[in-house]
Amino acid sequence: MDKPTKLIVDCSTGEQTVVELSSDEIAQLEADRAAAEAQRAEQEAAETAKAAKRLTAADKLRALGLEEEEVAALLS
Amino acid sequence: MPTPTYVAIAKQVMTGTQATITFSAIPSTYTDLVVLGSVRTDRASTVDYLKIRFNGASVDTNLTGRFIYGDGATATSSTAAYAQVARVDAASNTSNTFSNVEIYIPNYLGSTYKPISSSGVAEDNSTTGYDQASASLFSDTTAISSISLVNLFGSFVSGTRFDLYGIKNS
Repeated sequence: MDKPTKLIVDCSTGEQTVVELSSDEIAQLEADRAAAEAQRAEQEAAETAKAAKRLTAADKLRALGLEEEEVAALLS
Repeated sequence: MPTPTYVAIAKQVMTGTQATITFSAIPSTYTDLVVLGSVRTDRASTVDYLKIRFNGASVDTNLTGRFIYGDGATATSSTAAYAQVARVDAASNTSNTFSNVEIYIPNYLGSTYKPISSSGVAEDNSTTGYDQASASLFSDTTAISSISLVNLFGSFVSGTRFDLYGIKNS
């Protein structure tokens, strides 16, 4: 598999150079992407948990006798 | 009052897949910088996230970001220990659709920290658009002489374009 590359544009000369990423740069890129994936999964899990809490909260409010519009107003 | 003038410094249309793009040796003859982009990445998703770095850094050093995001149904906000300047189209979005991106960097030669304002829309040209506006900060007192753009997940695909402009206050 080809190594990922970076494009460098020298604004003083207009010269464009395509350079293969070094092993360190590839490792950093992969680490950044893995960290981003983990953070994204964490956020999605938190959002899912929050949505579930809203559902149970709505059920409890209905059990207390609130009307649907009142429940919606409280949870909006 | 003088009229600010856009001066084209460099433009680049990619002809292959690139992990990053760097504009180096940026002239120190302007007051502000603007980057305009037409961006798509190869991430296997509908959206990817464009980040900016400065002065040759290959990691997110001295960068923070605060951004708001909406897709027409929900609106959220978040912070990050990097400068996420825009949401951009990725491989699962409508073919040949590229995001528009604008990044403004005032006082890039100053000896104070540099704020960055930006916005971008990843859209499918049909039903959905993911709009993001960001306020980022480069906590460094060094003048900016190079700008690098990299995605959180994927690489830039062929056809991605970036234009760098200098703003002259005259």
